[in-house]
Formats: sequence, C-alpha cells, structure tokens
Amino acid sequence: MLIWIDTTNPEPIYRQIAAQVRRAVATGEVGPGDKLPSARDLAASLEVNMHTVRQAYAELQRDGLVDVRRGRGVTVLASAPGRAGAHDLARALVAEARRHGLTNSEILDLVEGHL
Amino acid sequence: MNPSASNPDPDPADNTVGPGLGDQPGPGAGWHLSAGRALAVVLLPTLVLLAVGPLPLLVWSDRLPDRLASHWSGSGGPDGSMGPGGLLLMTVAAIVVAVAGLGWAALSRRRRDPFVYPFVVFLVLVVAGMICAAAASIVAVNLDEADWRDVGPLPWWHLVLVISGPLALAAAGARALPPMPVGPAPTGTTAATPLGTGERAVWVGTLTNRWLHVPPVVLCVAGQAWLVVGPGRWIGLTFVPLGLATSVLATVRVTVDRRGLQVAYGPLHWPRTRFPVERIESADVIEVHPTQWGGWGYRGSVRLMKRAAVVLRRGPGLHLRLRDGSEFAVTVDHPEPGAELLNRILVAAGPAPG
Repeated sequence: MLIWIDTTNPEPIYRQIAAQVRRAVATGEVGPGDKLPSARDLAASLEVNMHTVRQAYAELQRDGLVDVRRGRGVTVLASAPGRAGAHDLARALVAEARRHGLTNSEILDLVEGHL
Repeated sequence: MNPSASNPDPDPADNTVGPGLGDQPGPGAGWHLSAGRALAVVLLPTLVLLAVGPLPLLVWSDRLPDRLASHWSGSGGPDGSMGPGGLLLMTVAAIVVAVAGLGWAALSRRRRDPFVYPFVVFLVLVVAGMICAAAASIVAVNLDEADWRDVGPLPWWHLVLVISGPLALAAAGARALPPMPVGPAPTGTTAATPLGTGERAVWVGTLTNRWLHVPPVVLCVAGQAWLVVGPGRWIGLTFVPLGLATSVLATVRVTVDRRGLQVAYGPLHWPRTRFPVERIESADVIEVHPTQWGGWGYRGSVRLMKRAAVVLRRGPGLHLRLRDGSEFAVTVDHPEPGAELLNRILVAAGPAPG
C-alpha cells in the first residue's frame, strides 16, 4: 500500500491520508482483514503528527471502511467493490471531460452540480 | 532472476585493462586487495593457526607419551589414540589448505558474488581452526603423562574453546576483507525522479506464509506433550520459546519511507531490521528462489557473508544493493511500488559523502 501526501497542498493532510487509504482499498492493494500500520508508525514514516493519522483513521472508521480497536490495531473491513466502481467511473469521467477540453475547475464544478 | 545476474561477472579476467576501466578503480572495478591488506589477511590467521596447532606439538614433544589420547566418548577417559606425528601432519595439512583458501581470496582479481570471498575465508578458517585447536587440547591433556590410557576425561571448557575460538577467528578473518566494490546499476533501472520537497510517501508491503505457522504450532503442542510424558519433562518448556521464535518468520511487513527500509517480523511486528538510506545504493525487484539463498527463513548475513535474505516463499521480492557491496532481499507481495519509491527517495537524498 502506497500512501503519498503533498504538504504544500492546501487539502488537510488527514484528508489526503484518508483518501490514499480509500484508494488503496478501492484498487485492492489492501483487502478485508488486512492490518494497517499503527498511527504511530505511519506518522513517523510520513513525518506528520500522530494525531493527524488518528484523525484520518477516525474518518475512515466513520465511513465503515476500517475498524480501529485500541491495542488491536487498524483492520480493513470492506473490500468496497461499489467504491472501486465509483473510482473507475470518476476516472472515466475525468478522461472524457479532458477529451472535450474541460479544465480541472470545470470538472469539479460539474461534479459539484450533481451533489 | 538469478541474484548473481545483478552483479555481473565481467568475463573472464576483470584485471585486463578495458576502456575507461583499468586506469581508475571506479564503480565496476574488480576485487582488489592492497599488498599490505592481502599479506595481513593471509599471514595473521596463519600465524595464529601455527601457534595453536603445530607449535605446542613441536615444543613439548619430549613431554608427551608415545601415543596421544585423542578421542573421548561419553564422560569417561579416552577411548582412542594417535601418534604425535600423525597429529602434526593433520594440523599442517589443515593449515596448507587454509593458506591456499586465504591466498586465493586475497590475490584474486575477479568480481564475484559479494559473499563468495568472505564465505571461503570463513570456511577454511573454521575447519583449520578447529583441527589446530583440537590438537592444542590434545597436547594439553596428554602433557607429562606416561601413557595415553592414564589421561583423564576431556575438560568441558576445552570443547567450548575448540568450537568458539575458531568461530571467532573465522568471523574476524571474514570481516577483515574489504567490501566488494559496487558495480554498475542493474540494467532496466530507469532513472528515478526525486521526491519533491513537500512530498511525503510511505509504502507498506506485507507477506504471510500460512505454512510457516505450522512449525511454531507443532513445537508448542510437542512442548506441552513433552511436559506431561517426556523424559526430563522440563525440557518441554524450551519448545515454547523455540516455537515463538519460528513464528516470527511466518509473516513480515516491509516499510519504505524517507528513513530507508524497515522489515518488521512476526505478528507483533517485532523484532525489526532497518536499512537507513545512507547504507542503500539502489533497490530493485527480483524473483527469489529459496534454493539460491539457502532455504526459508532469515538466510545468510549482511555483515559476514555480504548477502542476506528473508525468504518466506518463492516469488517476487524487494532487493537492496548496499553501499558496502553487500545485498539484502526480502520476499513481499507486489514489491514494485516499494522499489520505485525507495529509488526516488535515494535520488532525493543524493549520493552519500565518500
């Protein structure tokens, strides 16, 4: 599982971490039952505060993607095939929009209009 | 892929002056020991072997019986003997073989797998060392005895010294060798783009071999059974730590981040092995065959044999070439993103000083 963040990105780091874990689950890099690194280990690797990682894991737990248990670590719950499908559709949407010359912000507006 | 393929053996004589190679020993140069180093590598252990093996036999030849007690079984007195001449011949033959092995390692100019030279040095020194140390022990117990049958039991600490002494000598000899020069990067490695300043990344790979959970379970059950019915039942207790120790190698977690590579063993992710970026030359993906690394588990030694691998199964693994010429591999699922990230981190970190 690759987790990649950009500290110069205005998006909060915990959001970036959560998004990367979602991507890893969607692509099948990690599956149900797999253990994720502890918040302490991941924070040390990414050189961020441990609470930032805890926040990301808490968000993923709220979404029902992982189970966080004190002393038992973080376990992936869902393989989320539906999410993987949504991921693929988003990729297809972006490719199609680019082909028609839409800019990034126009694509985002387009998606937002349907929320 | 054959691990030796990542360290190509330049054909057949590496010491011939090739274009841009012979003048300066840059990366890609062959194995080369300075004259002083070569002399020390051969001479120092030889002097130790001579002093321990043949020398006491010659110096105290008139204080030894005609035949020497040379074999013990069980805790009683000796049950076998040999003439001092035969023993002397054995030690000299062992030293001749050791000198040949040491000389070959010291004078060879060929680049080989990084573990070959240390391994040969270690092997010849262990064998010759044990023969010479055994001879010294035989001289010590036979000294001033009229007949070999009068000799008492072999003191236990002689055994300890005969085994540990040669091992220490062999380890020192193998470590005295310089590292194998780092060769050119393996072909197929594309130049990695360095990790940007604001970018942080971590790659975590895992691998579990369920079959390797069998030995620990068997050991723990056998330990319980032994505790109930076995002879010397408390021996059964030692099975449990053994079982726990083997369970450590049933699963590994490999982490790549800006600090380097870390391998965490077992269900508790402890113990851990770390390779900081400063020690790593490059990373790539190889196909690990247990036969080429000596089986399953933690094979080899980065320090002593310049080559080590954590082998849980046959298949893809993450492979490191270290700056000191040694190599390390660990089997892990889908290692490609890990190798790529590590190379990007290495490029960003820049070449180490010196």
